[in-house]
Amino acid sequence: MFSQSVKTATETEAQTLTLADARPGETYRIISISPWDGREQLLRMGLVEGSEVYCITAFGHGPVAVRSGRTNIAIGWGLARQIMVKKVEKMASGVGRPVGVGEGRWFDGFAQRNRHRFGRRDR
Amino acid sequence: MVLPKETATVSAAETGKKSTSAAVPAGVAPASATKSTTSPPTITSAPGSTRLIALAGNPNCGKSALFNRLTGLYVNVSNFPGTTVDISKGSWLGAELIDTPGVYGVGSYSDEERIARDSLLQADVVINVVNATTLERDLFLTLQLLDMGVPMVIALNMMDEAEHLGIKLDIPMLAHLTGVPVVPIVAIAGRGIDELTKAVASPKIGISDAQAIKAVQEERRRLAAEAQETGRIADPGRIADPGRISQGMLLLLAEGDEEIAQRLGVPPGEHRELIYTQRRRRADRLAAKVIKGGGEQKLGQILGEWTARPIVGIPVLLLVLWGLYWFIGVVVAQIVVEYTEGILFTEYYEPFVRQLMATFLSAENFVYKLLAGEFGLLTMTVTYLFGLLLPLVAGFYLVLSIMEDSGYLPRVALLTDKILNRLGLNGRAVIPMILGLGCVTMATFTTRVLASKRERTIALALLGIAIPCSAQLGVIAVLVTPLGLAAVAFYVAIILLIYGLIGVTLNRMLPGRSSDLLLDLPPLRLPQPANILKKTASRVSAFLAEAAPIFAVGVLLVAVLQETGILEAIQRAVGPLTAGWLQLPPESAQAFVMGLVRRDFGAAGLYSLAMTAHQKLVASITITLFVPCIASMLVLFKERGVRDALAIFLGSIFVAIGTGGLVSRLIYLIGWNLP
Ligand SMILES: Nc1nc2c(ncn2[C@@H]2O[C@H](COP(=O)(O)OP(=O)(O)O)[C@@H](O)[C@H]2O)c(=O)[nH]1
Ligand SMILES: [Mg+2]
Repeated sequence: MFSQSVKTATETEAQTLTLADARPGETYRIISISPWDGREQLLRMGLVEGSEVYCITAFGHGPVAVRSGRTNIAIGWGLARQIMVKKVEKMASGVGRPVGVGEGRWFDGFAQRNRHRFGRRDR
Repeated sequence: MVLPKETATVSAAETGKKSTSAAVPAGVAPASATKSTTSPPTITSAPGSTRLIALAGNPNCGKSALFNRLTGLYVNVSNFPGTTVDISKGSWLGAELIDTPGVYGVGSYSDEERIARDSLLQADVVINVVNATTLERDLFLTLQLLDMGVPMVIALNMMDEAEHLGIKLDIPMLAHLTGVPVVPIVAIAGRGIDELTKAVASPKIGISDAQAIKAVQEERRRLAAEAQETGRIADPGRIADPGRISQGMLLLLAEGDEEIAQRLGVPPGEHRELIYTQRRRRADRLAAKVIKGGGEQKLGQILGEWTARPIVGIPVLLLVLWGLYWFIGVVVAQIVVEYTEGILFTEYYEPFVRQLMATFLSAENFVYKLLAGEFGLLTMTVTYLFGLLLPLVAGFYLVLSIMEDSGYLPRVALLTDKILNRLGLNGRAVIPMILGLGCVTMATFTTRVLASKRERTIALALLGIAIPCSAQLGVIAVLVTPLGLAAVAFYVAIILLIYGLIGVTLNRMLPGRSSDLLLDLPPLRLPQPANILKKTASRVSAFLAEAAPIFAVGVLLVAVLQETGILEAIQRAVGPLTAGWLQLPPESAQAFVMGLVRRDFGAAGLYSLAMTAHQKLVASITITLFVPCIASMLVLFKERGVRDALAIFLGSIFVAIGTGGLVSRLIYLIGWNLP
């Protein structure tokens, strides 16, 4: 569906979906979460820019359920639409966020989030 | 909510023992601790003795299971997030132990969080219960507690499950990185409890995040400046000067907690985003260092995920509903009740009581009528309560407990989220709704898990009007199931229709927007028989304790009304409604009067009337939608105030009577010949 390599900011933008568009069986990386009320709760539950989630199920125009680390979380449609994600082509492991997530990965996500923002400004 | 610290005083004798018990080297205590039951080890060796111990942890991490283990009391343990909405207190080691609602972080987003926050701010020691299988998630709260600077111990729970999943954890590393004792436990099996007891004797203030400490210091300075300017700080009783405000309060202030800010009389701090992202990062880093691998998907996880997918989930849901219908509607309502009510009580018990009473009193005597007459306290009341309602309620709670403990309910929440969105609710509301089928009064409390006032209003209206409680449902099952599957389906369809209409209407009427679903889906677990039985028993006895006195009063009331002729007057007065509009026998007025006392009581009143199949169906629908019972009205008053409670009360009468009459005509209109 999408090209595998990430090269430019515009290309990243093109690949950006919201979690509401996620398809079961695919893995996504979170690029940004809109700064509103749900954000803090997501952060507490382990979803943050840079983390990877595996989509367990998605109801069209309804909730999605994702696996992050070892927790499964159901997220309503409205909230899922606030979460910008990018498809990850190869699943890292059986679980969503790989056990070895560290600082580097987190910064990865952070950088991407900003890139995505610049991308939006370019338009 | 203020928990007085003076309540759990430690006697001088215990204080004396305290130093010895704390001096016991690690590894010796368990045997002696269990043997000397008369003098359990107390908790601190420090002169300022420990008085309030709080359990804190994410929803569903096993806090209540641990609480039960430690105190020997029983509070509900269920496999879904948000069971505990109130604080339970017990005593342990001469201190007060409190079970708080589960939260993913300390704050003031919901009532649960506020309750948890306030008890954590008051606690002298916090036992942070952490689910070993979901470390990344749970550590966020742990780190926040560390940042709050409370003396604490980490109870690493569900170690059995972690082992089963092959998760390997470096526990010394976790203790090293947090700076507080970490004790692996299995709350449901009681493993590690002795070690935990020992660790609680010397809790530690852990390692706070540098960023958080900086923010706390900044807030302290801000408060000091403010204090100098205005000459005072709010809440003067407790806080004399900014230097003495606890680190926890300051941290929450820095994180922008509005209520804390209000208490301190300053605007909230602005560091939340920074502290939160920093903390999530630290949690992930910690988890990465502590988790040494593993984490397979076992049956519980795999089934858990499949039942969340519509392809499997919806057939399973239908199967579960069918099972519920079969068990309650067929097995209990027909076979069991047939025996208990029909034979045991009506054929043996009641004649026996009448005979006994007749030896003292004449059948014309008022006291005789009161005790053994048509509405007799010793006859009808006892038969209804024990012969009819008890088996139904027990059967219902049994099924409900199994559903709760297996962890199936959150799947139902996911599957119904989309539909509930139309009613201005999200999938979470399914939990109070299903609990409402058990007891509306209890479920009214659980509506606190809903995020906004708007959602709580809708949920309470639905609970008050369109959700029958188990006792009532049971009686209705007895009335309707013999009429055939079509009648049952018709009943369910009408109730669901009304349910939907009320929800959609309120969703349109009420301002604002409802919140979105955000729910943890725990793995499916095999329910523990012991817990199921305990939970069912505790709920059934709660039902009896609540229902029996109200029933007795209701019976007295009806008996007096009947004796004085008022009942007949009422029947005549509402005749146009009952006989005219609803097309029911005039005596049904009596059931509705009884229904004002309790819904199930009203349903039981219908049970004894001679009615045609058509009338039975109409009457069942009407009484289902009829007013909530007195107990849930009282809870409604308390939770929502007079206006909302009254609106629900009057609304339910209107909806019930209106629907009943329409349905009665509808059945004629479609020419449906009920058996
Ligand atoms: N396997 C396992 N299950 C547990 C353990 N502790 C609690 N549970 C289960 O986890 C679920 C949640 O427990 P509960 O005490 O209600 O959690 P709370 O929401 O934190 O109060 C229940 O189904 C318990 O049976 C444990 O140590 N091992
Ligand atoms: Mg609990």
